[in-house]
Amino acid sequence: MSIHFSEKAMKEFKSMEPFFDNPRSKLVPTLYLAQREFGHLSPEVIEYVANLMNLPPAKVLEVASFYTMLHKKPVGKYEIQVCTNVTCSMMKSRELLSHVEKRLKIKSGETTPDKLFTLRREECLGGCDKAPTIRINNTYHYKVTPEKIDEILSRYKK
Amino acid sequence: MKILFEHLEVPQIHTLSTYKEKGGYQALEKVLKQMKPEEVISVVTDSGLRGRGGAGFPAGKKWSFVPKDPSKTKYILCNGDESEPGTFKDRILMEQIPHSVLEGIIIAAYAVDCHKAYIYSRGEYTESISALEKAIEECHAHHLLGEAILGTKFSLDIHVFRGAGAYICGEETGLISSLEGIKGWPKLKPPFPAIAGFNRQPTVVNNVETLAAVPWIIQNGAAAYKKYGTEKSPGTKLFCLSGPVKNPGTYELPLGFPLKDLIYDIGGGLLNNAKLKAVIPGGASAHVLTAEEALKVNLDYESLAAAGSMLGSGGVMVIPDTQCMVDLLSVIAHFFKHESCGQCTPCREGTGWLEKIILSILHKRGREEDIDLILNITSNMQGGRTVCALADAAAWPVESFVKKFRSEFEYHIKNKRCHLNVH
Repeated sequence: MSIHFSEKAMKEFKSMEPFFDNPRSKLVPTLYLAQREFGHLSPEVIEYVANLMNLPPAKVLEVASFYTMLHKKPVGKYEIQVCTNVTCSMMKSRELLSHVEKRLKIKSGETTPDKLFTLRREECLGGCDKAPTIRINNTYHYKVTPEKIDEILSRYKK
Repeated sequence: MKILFEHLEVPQIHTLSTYKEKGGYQALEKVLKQMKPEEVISVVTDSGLRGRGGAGFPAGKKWSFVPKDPSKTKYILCNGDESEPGTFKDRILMEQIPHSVLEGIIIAAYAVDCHKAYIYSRGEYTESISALEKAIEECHAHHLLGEAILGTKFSLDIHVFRGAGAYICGEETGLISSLEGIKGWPKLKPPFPAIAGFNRQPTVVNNVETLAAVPWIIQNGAAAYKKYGTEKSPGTKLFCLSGPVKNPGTYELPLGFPLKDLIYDIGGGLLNNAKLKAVIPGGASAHVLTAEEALKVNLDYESLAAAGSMLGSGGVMVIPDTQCMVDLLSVIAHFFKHESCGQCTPCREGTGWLEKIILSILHKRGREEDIDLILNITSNMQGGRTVCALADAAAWPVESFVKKFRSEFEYHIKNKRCHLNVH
């Protein structure tokens, strides 16, 4: 097999052993680890994880495809999640989403050709009191306006 | 009066030393050194503490269902998969007062003879996860976790498990599936998790907020807790106020608090002095209340049930009269279609068709018979036709929006435009 975990990731993988009484419980954490290592969960990565976990690849793909935060396709360096649930929608997040779509010239779910940004329409992110809420990689941004997002996005570079 | 948020404003309360200075882990010491497990369960049962995640099941009773059989491995799963739209309270507890959550888990673990507990945090809450992991590390360094906790024979390990983006994993059996390394499909009950849960072993699944209330109850007693709230809904609860109000935020209030006072006194009323049209009182799953209903109701399990809705997760979303209800319902219908796990036909097909029909009304393609069709679908999704309650939760907002704001739907269908001209 041509891909494998780095030494650090392998150490993390092995350190999970005592956490769980059933080794299968490691699957979601291992998929996260694989995503960190390889960027996204390609068929090759699924097969690698399946080998590592001693599971059929189909079972691994079944789990990987169930969760929205596990990426089956390549994503940009920065993933922009715009919440469009109840409160954020009332606070104009859908207008914000179309603003970003226009600015980046992509639709929700797509990645810019330079692989810098992936844009996603998201469900409630748990930031309703400071709506509209967006999340870029692991950072939350609150009360976001079109002007504010222009300013934020100009800070994210290659 | 604050119980959960008593020390929220104290600087550095997320650290063990400050938490201890404010009396933290005294309840644990009392439990481990002076109380028997069954005494802990009876204090929590007597306090009337009910599940704060949405279902409202009495916490002490849940613990008491766990078999006393010492040969069985028992688990506690702390549910921090907070994904109910309009809810952002568990996040504050996990991020800012993580030790109150941990202390609650350790006490619960002692009560049910559990030695391995997990906190299932939603994947997006990376700050919650790192705050909890740091707090767990501090506990290990100070004999509050691991072997021989506080010098007693009791041992416990707590691990944080990161969810990966699925609303259904907030449902207790969906959460268990996810932890077991399978897709987050809920399981049929019975057997209930207390008998056969995680790894088919006895398991308690409690919400973050429920567990965080436990140390105070142990320290101050069941009677002190019952001084707050109503007779049937004792204690305090976190309410997440959001929407176009002047002071949105999370507020700890005694149960039975008037919804009107939350919106107008604490919340400062609506922005631009807009008129109130409706309120979703307990997360997106709850039946919507008209302004008239909302201004009369109190925030406790019984009052909201009597008003035909539910306390749910405590996510209070305020809707102004400038909001088109067809438009807002399309947002909710999209959410449930997106989050239906696909296991049961009424839910998988029902949520999909509801979204399609509501969108067609929104996009000026509605037919006169669509309103009855929607109500027919919602009634076929409810009442135990599915493995879990997501189908019911998806049907309730749709049914209540259509029934209570029927004229808005009819206007869109008849005139092929929005009565407010907002879309």
